[in-house]
Amino acid sequence: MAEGAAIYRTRGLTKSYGEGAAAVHALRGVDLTVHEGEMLVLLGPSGSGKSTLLNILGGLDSATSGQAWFRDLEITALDADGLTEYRRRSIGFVFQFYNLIASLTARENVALITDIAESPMTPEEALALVGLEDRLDHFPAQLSGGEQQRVAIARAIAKRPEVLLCDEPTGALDSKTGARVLTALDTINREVGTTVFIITHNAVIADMADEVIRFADGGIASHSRNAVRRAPADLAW
Amino acid sequence: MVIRLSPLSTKLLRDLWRLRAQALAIALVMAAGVGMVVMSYGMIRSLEATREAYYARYALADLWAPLRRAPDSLTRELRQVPGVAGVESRVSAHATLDIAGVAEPVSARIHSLPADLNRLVLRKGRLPRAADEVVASELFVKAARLSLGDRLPALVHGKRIELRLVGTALSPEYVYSVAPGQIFPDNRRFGVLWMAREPLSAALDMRDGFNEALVRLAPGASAQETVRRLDLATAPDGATGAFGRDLLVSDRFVSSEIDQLKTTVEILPPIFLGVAAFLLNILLARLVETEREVIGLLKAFGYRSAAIVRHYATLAVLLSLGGVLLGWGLGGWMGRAIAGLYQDFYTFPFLNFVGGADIYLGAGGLALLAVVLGAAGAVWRAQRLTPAEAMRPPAPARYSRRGVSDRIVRALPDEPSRMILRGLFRRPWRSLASVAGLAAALGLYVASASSTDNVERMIDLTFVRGQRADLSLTFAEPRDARVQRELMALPGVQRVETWRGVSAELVNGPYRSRESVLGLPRGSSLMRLVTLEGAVIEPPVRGALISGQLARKLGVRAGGSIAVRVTEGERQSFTLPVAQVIDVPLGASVVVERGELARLLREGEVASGAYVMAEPGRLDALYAALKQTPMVAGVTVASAALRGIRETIAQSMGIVTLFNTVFAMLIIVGVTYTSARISLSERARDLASMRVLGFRKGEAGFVLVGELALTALASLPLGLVLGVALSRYIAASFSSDLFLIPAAVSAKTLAQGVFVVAVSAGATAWLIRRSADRLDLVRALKTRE
Repeated sequence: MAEGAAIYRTRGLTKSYGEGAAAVHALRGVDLTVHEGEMLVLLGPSGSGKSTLLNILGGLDSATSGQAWFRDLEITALDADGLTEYRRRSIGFVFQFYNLIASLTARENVALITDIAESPMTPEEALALVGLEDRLDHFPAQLSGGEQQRVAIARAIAKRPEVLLCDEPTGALDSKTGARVLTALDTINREVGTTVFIITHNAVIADMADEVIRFADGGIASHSRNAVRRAPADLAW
Repeated sequence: MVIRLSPLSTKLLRDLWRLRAQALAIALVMAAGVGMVVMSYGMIRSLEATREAYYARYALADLWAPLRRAPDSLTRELRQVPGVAGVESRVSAHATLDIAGVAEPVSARIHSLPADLNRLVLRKGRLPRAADEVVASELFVKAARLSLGDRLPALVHGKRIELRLVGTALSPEYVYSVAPGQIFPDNRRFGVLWMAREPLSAALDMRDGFNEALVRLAPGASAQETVRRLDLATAPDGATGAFGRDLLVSDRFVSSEIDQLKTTVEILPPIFLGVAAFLLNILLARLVETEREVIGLLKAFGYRSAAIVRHYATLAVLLSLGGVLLGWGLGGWMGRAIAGLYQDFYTFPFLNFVGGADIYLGAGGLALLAVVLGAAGAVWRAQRLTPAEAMRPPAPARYSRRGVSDRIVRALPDEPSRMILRGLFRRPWRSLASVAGLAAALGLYVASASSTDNVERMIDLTFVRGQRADLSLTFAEPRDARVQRELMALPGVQRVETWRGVSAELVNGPYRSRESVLGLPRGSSLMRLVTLEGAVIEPPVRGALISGQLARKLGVRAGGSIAVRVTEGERQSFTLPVAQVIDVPLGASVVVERGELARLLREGEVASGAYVMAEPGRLDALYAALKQTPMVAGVTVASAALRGIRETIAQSMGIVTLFNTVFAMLIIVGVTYTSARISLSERARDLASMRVLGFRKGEAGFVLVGELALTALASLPLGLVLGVALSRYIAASFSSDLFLIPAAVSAKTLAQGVFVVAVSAGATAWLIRRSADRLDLVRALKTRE
């Protein structure tokens, strides 16, 4: 497969909390290029910096120094309002704890996004993509964990984002349910062409990616490319 | 020495610090309730104690027996009347004063100096020695800007006499001093004077005689029975009927004020303490919900349920302790402020606000009761959790698409609005309690602010629609028909309507009442009877109009009849059919058509006073003439009376309305802020999700602010209705047999109430938006609920 255009570039990206001797360095100068349409898996122990990188790329957090570009947009130069607009237009998020709105049904959770997006799918289409076309009017409390996570994915992709950032999307799920969630992400990457980042502790998941980035001590320890992507259904853990 | 706190105590202090903003909101609301209890009960007690001490120390008479004139020897006879312990005779008169700097004639009541009863409190100068010397009531001297040594030309019993001010005094008989027939003091135009008995008797042609007996009752004697015996003994001397302290105008006003305070205490503190209990309830319930894990952990470590109960109960008590302390301070401060205000209307030689430890403790106890009621549910739930259950996250909030409420939700156009409504519907009781709290605050504001509307309505009914005369005159003696021409001859007089009034005892079976029977012409344009509803009522051709208050007192209805025993002049007796029962705000409890009254009294066209309309440009000339007109004993100037009423209202209602406005705003901010903080804590994840999904700050904040706005909006109709109802209740309970207060909430007051809610809720919305904007997105999303 031919590599697409670069969707993300970072140069010397650092993030530290606190000052002086007490400072904690979450990112120590990350240089990275990501191409559009890729499926990326980020591996590494807790505190290795993978979530921090994802938060900065997603516009949830700001860098201490260095630069990051989303295509030609320098996201490290944006203010809070600029970041909101950036998230609103281009980014979808999926978190470990789903973060669905308990007072809205599956359809309404997705509609929350389609109402403010420019050319979204319908909530029904988005939910069909993750295999939940028959659970439209259920509230989160009436859905299983896997179903809730798939609603979260449907909500993230409904606005047709260019990038989907997933932080431990299967962290709270058993392997069978986890596989269905990953299948949904795989489908979106292949069929819609969305660039997908998946953060995980689970090394097995790396087999479904185009590229695998391993983090350690706030930096990239290795960056490799899989020759073959395995289908999520074939993964077992 | 280092004090080491137990971990739970440390947690307690940190929780308190963390919750300080909500704690402040609750403390302020609670302080208002506690302060109101301390102020009202303290004031009631202070007034009652002061009144009792004042009356005792300055020997206020128990009974008054006014009569036309009696020889001094009658006092000896009166002392023999069973039930009488002491008698003091005195000479009293109405007078018109001509005071430099006061254009209108000033009405005065002059008494001979007291010996043992109704003793004076000399405030300045000295008591009169020479024949022309007087002491005057202190407030009058201040209001009319008089100085010791000033000359006071007076018209007494048709004679012009020169008086000289030598002192100022207070009297237990005039704690509240109003001109006859008035209900608001006008100290510039009405005063009380005391002078030596000799010269006053001379002016009244009453040497060796008197026209009023003051009576001290024997211990255990019945006032009612003694009054009856006194009336019998004084009847030959033209007695107009003895009466007790219960009919002393000054004392009736003081009692009415105490009753008003009692009403205040019935209504306000329960609102404040109820709201505070509710706020504490939702705050603690949320705290326990977020601390499930902590509770589970503590229990797993072996802490007993009792320790958990103690922990949260202590937190609740500490959260409200500030409110109690603040309320004590506030109550004391308000009490002193109100006591100072009372001194402008009620002249006690001393009026110290004395709360008393029991009142402070009682108020604190009430607050504690509110705390217990508010905290009980949450504390109970906390101790009931088993460790395992507590350490599991709470089950996700359950919502349902069934029911009427969700049909409304589904009809909404956007998701954030659905979030707001489903949130409100999911906790219906809490939402309703918030709405009720805000409605109570709005009601409180409207009821308080409408007191001015009520008085304006009273003024409109009484002075604009009813009494349209510029002046109301009372004659020293009843006059015949010629008086009409004599008055028309005075400068600037355009129209004169005379009236007749006699004092009488009205009897229906066992019920009796002393009233003035007023004879008015039909078709009068200067003095019309206007009911509370604004209807103009003509005196009936036959029978009488009587007030609702009197009808209830006498147990009589329209169509019935009452026996009338006139207590002056010829002392006629007759039966009077009751033609209609009406409620008029002020004065006139029995009205009979003028000619009909003359027929019943078997007299010709006799007038007791007159209503006068004059050319506006010539009023000063008319006032000057009236100051020299012997037949006129009293003059009431409508415009001046009106000004007096408005000044009184502005002075007395101003501070009370200000207090209540601040209190209403405290409740609104307390309720909205606490509910919104809790809503923010419950919705933090939702809001963070929305922000991460690309919602702008304003769009995400809409969920919080919208909920607040919706709650405030829902409270408006309820609050306005409550305000009107409360205003009516207060008007009814503040009404007495002296006056009726119409309930008339103006649109302006209602609009101001809505504005107060909007401003207070807006301030909360701004605070909450600020907190919502500062949410840490990543942390809110990555923590488990």
